[in-house]
Amino acid sequence: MNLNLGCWIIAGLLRGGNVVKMLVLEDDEARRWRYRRYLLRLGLVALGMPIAFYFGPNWILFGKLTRLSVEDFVPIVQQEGVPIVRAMKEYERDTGRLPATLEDLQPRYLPAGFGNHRCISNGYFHLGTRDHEVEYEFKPGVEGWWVIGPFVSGAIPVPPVTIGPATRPISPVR
Amino acid sequence: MYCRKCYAKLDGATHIRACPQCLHGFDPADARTYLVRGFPSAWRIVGYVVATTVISIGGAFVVALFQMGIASGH
Repeated sequence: MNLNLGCWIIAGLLRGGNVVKMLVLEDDEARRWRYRRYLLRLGLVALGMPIAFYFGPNWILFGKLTRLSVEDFVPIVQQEGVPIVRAMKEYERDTGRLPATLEDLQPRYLPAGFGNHRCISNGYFHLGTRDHEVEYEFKPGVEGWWVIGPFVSGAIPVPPVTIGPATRPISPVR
Repeated sequence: MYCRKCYAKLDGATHIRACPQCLHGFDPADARTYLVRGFPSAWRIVGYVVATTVISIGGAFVVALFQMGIASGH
């Protein structure tokens, strides 16, 4: 059995048709159309697979067509993280220690009602978003923004928060 | 002439008015009952594309659920 006949039989089985009739009836023109139909099916697969396995799940899970990346956390870090961490550092500069809760920062360093009250716990900043944890590492040398989660982990490309020297007299914070 | 159902060539079957492979009937005098080329019509291709997209979106939900399950540790 040569390869061509094998292809015929497989094609016949796939079509559920009669292999013998195919062998007899198909000429060069019909064969060309058959190959074009295979190309069409290949095109449909090429259309469907990326939707089913890449673009679709990304859209459903993350609201965008491409996979989640550390860059996707930049907006929330800039909008919510930076003001809170800046306030934490100002608090530390003035008191010598990091705040234990978000309430320690309000209203002196942060407006009342800003941020999730659970984002600070004992000097540790973390923000839960998109099933991921955004953290700020205060240790010198590795200071910066990090994200940890099931779909992406790594450093977020936002520069570490810096604060200027105190511009008001240091006083104990209640 | 090609069969609308299985795309077999019908040139030698005009006298029996049925596809020799799948027995799907056709009328050589009625162009709507057969295909001029062995390829789906434009509307059928559009249908394939729509169906493929819909099925793929359904598949995407399954894949997304699976990924969410992995993400949540279940």
